[in-house]
Amino acid sequence: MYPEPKLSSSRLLVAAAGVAGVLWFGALASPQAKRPHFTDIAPRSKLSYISNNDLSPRKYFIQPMCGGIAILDFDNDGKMDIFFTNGAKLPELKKTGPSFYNCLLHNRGDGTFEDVTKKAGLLGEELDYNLGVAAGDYDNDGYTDLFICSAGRNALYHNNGNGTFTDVTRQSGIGGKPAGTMSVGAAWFDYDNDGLLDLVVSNYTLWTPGTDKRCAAAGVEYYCDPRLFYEPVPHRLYHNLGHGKFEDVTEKSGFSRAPGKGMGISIADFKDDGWQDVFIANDTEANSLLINKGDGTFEDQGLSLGVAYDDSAKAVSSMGSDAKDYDNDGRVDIFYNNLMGQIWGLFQNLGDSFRYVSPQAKFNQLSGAYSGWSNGFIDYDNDGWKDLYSANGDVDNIKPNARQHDTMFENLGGKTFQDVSAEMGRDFLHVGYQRGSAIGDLNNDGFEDLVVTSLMEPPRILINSADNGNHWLVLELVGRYSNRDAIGAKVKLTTGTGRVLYNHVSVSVGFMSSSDKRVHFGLGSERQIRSIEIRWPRGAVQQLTSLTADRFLKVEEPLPQ
Amino acid sequence: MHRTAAFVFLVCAGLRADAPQAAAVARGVELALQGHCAEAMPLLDQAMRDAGNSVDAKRKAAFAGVRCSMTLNKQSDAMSFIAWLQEAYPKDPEVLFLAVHVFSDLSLRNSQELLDTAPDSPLVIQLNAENFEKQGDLAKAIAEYRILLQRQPDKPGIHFRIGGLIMDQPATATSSEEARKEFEQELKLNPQNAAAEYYLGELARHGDKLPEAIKHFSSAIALYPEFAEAHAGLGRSLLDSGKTADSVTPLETAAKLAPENPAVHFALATAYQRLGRKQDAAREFALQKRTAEKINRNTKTLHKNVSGAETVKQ
Repeated sequence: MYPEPKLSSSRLLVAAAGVAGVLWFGALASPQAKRPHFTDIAPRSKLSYISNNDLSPRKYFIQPMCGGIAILDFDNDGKMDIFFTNGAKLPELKKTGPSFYNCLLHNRGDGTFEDVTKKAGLLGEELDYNLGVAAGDYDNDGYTDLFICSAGRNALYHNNGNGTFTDVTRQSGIGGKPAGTMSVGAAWFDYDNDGLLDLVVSNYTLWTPGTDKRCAAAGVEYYCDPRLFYEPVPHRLYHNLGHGKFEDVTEKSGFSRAPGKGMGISIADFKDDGWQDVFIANDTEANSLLINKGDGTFEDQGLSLGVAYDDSAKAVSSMGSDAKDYDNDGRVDIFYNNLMGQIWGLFQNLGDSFRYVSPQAKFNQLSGAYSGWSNGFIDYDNDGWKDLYSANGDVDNIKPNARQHDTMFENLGGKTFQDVSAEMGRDFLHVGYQRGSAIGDLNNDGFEDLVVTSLMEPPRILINSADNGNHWLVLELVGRYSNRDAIGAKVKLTTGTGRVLYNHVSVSVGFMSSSDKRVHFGLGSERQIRSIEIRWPRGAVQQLTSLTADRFLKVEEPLPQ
Repeated sequence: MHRTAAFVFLVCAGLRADAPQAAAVARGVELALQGHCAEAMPLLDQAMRDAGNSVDAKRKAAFAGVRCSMTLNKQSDAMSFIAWLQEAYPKDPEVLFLAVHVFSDLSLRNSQELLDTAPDSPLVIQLNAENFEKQGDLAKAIAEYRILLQRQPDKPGIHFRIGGLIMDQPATATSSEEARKEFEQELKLNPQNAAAEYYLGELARHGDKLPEAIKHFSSAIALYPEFAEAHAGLGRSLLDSGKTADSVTPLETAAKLAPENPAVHFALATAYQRLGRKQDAAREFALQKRTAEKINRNTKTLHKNVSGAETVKQ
């Protein structure tokens, strides 16, 4: 059905920027480092952004959540840029000044970033308290657009292709939601395989500053327990009709039958049936795994597939989530983090159900001391095993160990994990109230970097020292029949020695964040790639053979004949 | 006032005020309310023995009897009244609440008695350890149990307690191994300890050592065939080992013994599903949903009722 793919030189681009990238950051790396580590390069740039949740003794329920991140190449210059969402003045729920504005940073390619928010039209003065952000090319014009979640009005920004964005929320029909709905996260994906990206939004509850509950002990306010005062609400699904129009299909898709207190969203074809499914981590409620039935409807099978609760069937404070194949068995697994005293959840996909493997993975030993928010599978050392990063910090500032550092749990052969945070460098170990995080290769050196927000602080842009000599391959997939971002495309890579690795295109990551859409593979010591199989969302299967490592490959989808 | 109270009691108990049995019960309760327990106790005892009294009348007599028994420090009488109440009203919150107080008070009284009678006894050390355990100071409890082991190295049950406490603490890189050693030591002293075998099974299962887990769970079941958690552990280990058909019997047994455990229903549903038994799987998934939702509903209610949250006026 599909023509044999031919890699023309135009489709096989070795990124020259990668060489430059190694040079800019090479001086920061310690040659003695046993493992790659991370260095914060944010202070090199003039950045005014802080994740401003309007912290005050009067504690509003929304304040622990602030600082969503998107890593995207908004101007298609080959270098990943960064977008941050921001909070608002409370109880006014307005961006009353520049300290609450959202922020777009343009990657100059020399280790510094330029704030181009105003020029891009993304300050968001007319918006309110913003939370998550989803980056995706919803109109397949080759430029990445932005959807921003809010306590009030959600917003869709169309990328005009000239460095500016236009708020098209009103005409798109994507802004509708019940009044007072607190939208936390969003993810682009093509649920009906029509080649157009649809949007899922995770909602938490109905909340306004006017309905906010106040809780206090001995006269000191603290953030109220969501179980006591806030009810779950349905997440929303918007179907892309084309020509910039969307239809709210929450009711007819079945999403309305699975309410929750939505936090992280993870997109993958968990059943490997060609249809993209949706996992939503719900805080203090059963997690949802909305299985795509292929007819425009979804069914929440979280319980029957074994991911709704932990091993004891108890709902925990699920925060961020990610879905990747951590054990390289060809099936996409699920991870979520939660709060101190609980155990982070890792669920191994067995094909017909999921197995709760947190104890086997050693998370009961590793995670109990941390309150995790955003997170993500990241093969930070390019050994071919996806490790787990988590952005940590307690909900409130009351407990003595509320300020926490991030963690990196290294994946040991797809079985267990070990905490290597202490070797990740001083900047990685910054303590605070970390919230959003996204993963991407900011300097195009083949090693994944991190961007992290912390409440009332500037963000960190953590560059991977990339100094362990491991090899890698990064694929930039371009859909031509499928959605242009190729979200949902599955990649199977076989190395020269026959080792098989899996990944898929999915940008929604962790909590309120959106990662680099390129597909990254760490190859360990191997330089040769025997084959790559790409299964495109609309069914095409493409084979590439005999490739060498340490390069960026741009691969276009073959059109059906 | 007391006459009124007795009248209300009689009406509530459905007794005629002029019936001699009813009058005796009412008098016993009235005396108990007045604090005349020595006089009340014979009447209350008689009220419990008299077949003509209604269950409700006996309930009131039993409540009064418990209080008077405790006042008079007649512990076995208190136990008898409580036993009757628990038999007649097994899920009654008031009975459960009363039982908590009685047993807690009896525990304190007997602890004090033990301290007064045998201050040098190793049992005092054990009691001390158990008190630390109740207070949630697990590190001190472990330390106290180890002191006890210095005096009585062959005492059964202590290694088991230490192992359990290690598992109750936040896990560390070495805690599983430390707990495993304690349970193994316990089994050397007491090979009949099914719970130690069970915990060894759980440790092995969490370490993905499934054949070892299966061995320990099987041993636990051999020692105690009604051990629901051990059947569940065996079934889940077999299921995770790919021995789906073998997992069904232990999981069915576990579901029968512990019908409110959603994890068991989920595992059994998964096993049925893999074996193509769709209807059985659907039934178990429904049970999983019902039991899981019940647990989480109860947890929410509990948090709402006892959170201690002070809501500030808007």
